[in-house]
Amino acid sequence: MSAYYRGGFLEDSWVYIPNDASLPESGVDVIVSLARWRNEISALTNHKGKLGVSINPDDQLEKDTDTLTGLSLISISFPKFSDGRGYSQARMLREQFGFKGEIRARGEVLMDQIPLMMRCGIEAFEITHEPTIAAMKAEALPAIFHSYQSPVCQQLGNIRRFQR
Amino acid sequence: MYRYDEFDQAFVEERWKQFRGQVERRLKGEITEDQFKPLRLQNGLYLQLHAYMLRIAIPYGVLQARHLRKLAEIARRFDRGFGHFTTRQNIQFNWIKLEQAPDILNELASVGMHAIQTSGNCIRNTTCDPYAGVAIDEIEDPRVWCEIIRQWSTIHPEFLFLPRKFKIAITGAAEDRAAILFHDIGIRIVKGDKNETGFAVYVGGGQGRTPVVGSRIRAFLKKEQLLSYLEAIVRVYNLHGRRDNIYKARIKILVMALGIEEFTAQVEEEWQKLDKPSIDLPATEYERIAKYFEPLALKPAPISDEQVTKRRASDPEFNSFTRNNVRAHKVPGHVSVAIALKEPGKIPGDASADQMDAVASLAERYGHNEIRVTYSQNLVLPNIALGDLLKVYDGLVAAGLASANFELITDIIACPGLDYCNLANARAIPIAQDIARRFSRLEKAEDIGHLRLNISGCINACGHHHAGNIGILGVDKKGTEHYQITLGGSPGDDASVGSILGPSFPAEELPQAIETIVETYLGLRENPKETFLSTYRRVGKEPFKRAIYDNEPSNSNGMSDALEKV
Amino acid sequence: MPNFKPSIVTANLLRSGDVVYLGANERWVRELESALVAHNENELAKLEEAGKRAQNDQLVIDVYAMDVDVKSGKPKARSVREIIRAAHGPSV
Repeated sequence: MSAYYRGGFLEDSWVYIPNDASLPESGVDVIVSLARWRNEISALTNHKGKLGVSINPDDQLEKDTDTLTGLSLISISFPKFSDGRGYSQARMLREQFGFKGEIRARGEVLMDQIPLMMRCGIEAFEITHEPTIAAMKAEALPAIFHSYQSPVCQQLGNIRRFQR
Repeated sequence: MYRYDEFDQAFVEERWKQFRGQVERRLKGEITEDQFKPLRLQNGLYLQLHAYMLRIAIPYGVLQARHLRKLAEIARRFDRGFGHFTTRQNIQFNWIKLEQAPDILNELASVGMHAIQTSGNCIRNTTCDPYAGVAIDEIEDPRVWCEIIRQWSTIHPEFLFLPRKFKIAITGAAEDRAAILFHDIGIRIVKGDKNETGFAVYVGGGQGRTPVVGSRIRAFLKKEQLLSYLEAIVRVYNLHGRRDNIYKARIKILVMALGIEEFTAQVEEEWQKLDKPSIDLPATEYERIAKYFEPLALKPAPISDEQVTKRRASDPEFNSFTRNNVRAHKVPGHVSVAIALKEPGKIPGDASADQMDAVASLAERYGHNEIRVTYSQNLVLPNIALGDLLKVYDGLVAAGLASANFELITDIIACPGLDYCNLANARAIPIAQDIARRFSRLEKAEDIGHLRLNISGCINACGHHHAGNIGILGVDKKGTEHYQITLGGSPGDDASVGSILGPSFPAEELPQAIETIVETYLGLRENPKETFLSTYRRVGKEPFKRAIYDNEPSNSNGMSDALEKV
Repeated sequence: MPNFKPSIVTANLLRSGDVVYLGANERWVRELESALVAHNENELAKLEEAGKRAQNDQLVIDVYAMDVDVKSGKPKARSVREIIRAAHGPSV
């Protein structure tokens, strides 16, 4: 059971398409793997519906050759919450690729890491952990307004650097 | 020194409250131990052999008296009346209960202290020279940069789930007293052609299973670019460090695998892509922080004091203390006083609550409120007027803190070992005590001279045995405690990893082997001024190997007795 | 069947971190010699299940089975590590 959060709990229109499955005909919003995107980019851009790409922690994003600007969404994986590669990937996507679409986190997404993900430019979350869903619904995320590092994209609270 | 302002204070307040929430959720079962563990580690709370252990951050080893008093209070209220200072300039309390940890963090927050990132796979305490700001050979005070790095790395959202822990050290003097070449990133302050401040940067040093001296990645980095450059290094590590094997997950493994040239190329490439202005410190912010580290307005005074001279002539212990524990200061007529927490027979690096209060009092009355923690698990009062030295010394004597063995063989660096630590193979403390007792006569220790002896209870090397002139490593041999000896390590500018001497020794035989090694050195040295390390480097391993392995040692010690008593 | 070593189950209390041993009636005790000894795989499995239950109830963490010697019907720690743990304090 997965809940989709982006500013609030919403209906999730996106569908993950396995590598060996063909894309649905109608205008469904689809997410394909990075490998598939790289191999079939021209075929995929014909799809009637929004396009998204899912990346894994060991995917190397190539600034010069990966065309991500046409995408509406990138899904970053946190297979274990302790695998921190997704944080770097998110920041690189925002800051180096200038990606402006939705970046969402999937995998082991827990309430203690959500604020960190947000500060790295992740704005949406696929959450399966029930207590995290409950906490987000109750708006019970801890009040953390102060941070020492510039966040990506969002002004969240009181940032040291811009204080003075 | 740095003082928390409203922002810093609000930051630690938020953090301890966040942790309180995390503990509550854990106790209710809303998060599992697996999910909770990294969170409690990020607040310095380990589960050890007998209880939880809390490691409190002492940023770059600098304390005000009020901080030390708060630590004494915590020792009394929440622990068993003592604390242990570590090789990363932090303090550990061994008898903490999880349910009290939030209260302790609250107490710490009230004086601007915390336990943030003293554990876990994140950037840890940045350490430096305990004589920063006062050393005669100082090029520039590293503490400013330690504070800057501290702020940059604290709850850095991208780097809280690295492949493994990450340790940074920085030196600002001609002599490296911070062991920078054994850190994941080591930074040396240097001057450029126009006498501008910059950094030589080293990566991939470390101890543990694969001890290695760091490699230079940059000969000169402009000071304004420090944070963005660090960010590039840590990002490359975060993305490419191994996550499949915790014993191969440090940055040193990545540097060794890629080679320093390739690693450097990847860092430089990433650095070019970074949005530097959003990372590097604005000049105004640098100046704000630097102001806190302006030198004290100390009045130069005569470099000799009649009372001190008289007392040295009449009091041999004070004479030794002055010779071994007292160091000259930048400002004439002042000294830095090392407090060795290494009285032979006591637990190395431990201080009682009363002793902490005593040191705090001395710092308040004579030391401009400041105390330092050293890499060798000792304390320093960095700013003492020579005219006050006798009063400080007598105060230390009264508190049982006047051990005159700083940097001698009995100034042993030892991890807590199997007496306290879940990871250990063998005990370190009784070994340290036994060895220290054998050399407890100060004249003997002084005759031996400068010698670093380090003991680690397991390969994790928290005792830094690889960097010991004599290193001792606890190993498990069929369920009994054995110890392997290494010789010739050094943590400083001439950094080297110690070399294994031969097969390990059972506990009963180890202290005698150490005695034999020392006797061998005394017999081989060219003159009394040649240190153990110099002699070893001159004559090599062979004489020492022959001395311990060709003879049968036959000495028992109290270690097995201690176990029987248990 | 391979040589089964008599075993007990030990853990740390979640709240205090204290070392405890699983005794009779799923009670956790401080004294190692009061621990319930498993003499075969089945008995050990039962103890380990009880350990898991206590873990799920947020009572204990780091539950594991350990070998013991049995003397006069009472379990005794075998390794240096477990001797020190059982003493609830350092050897110094």
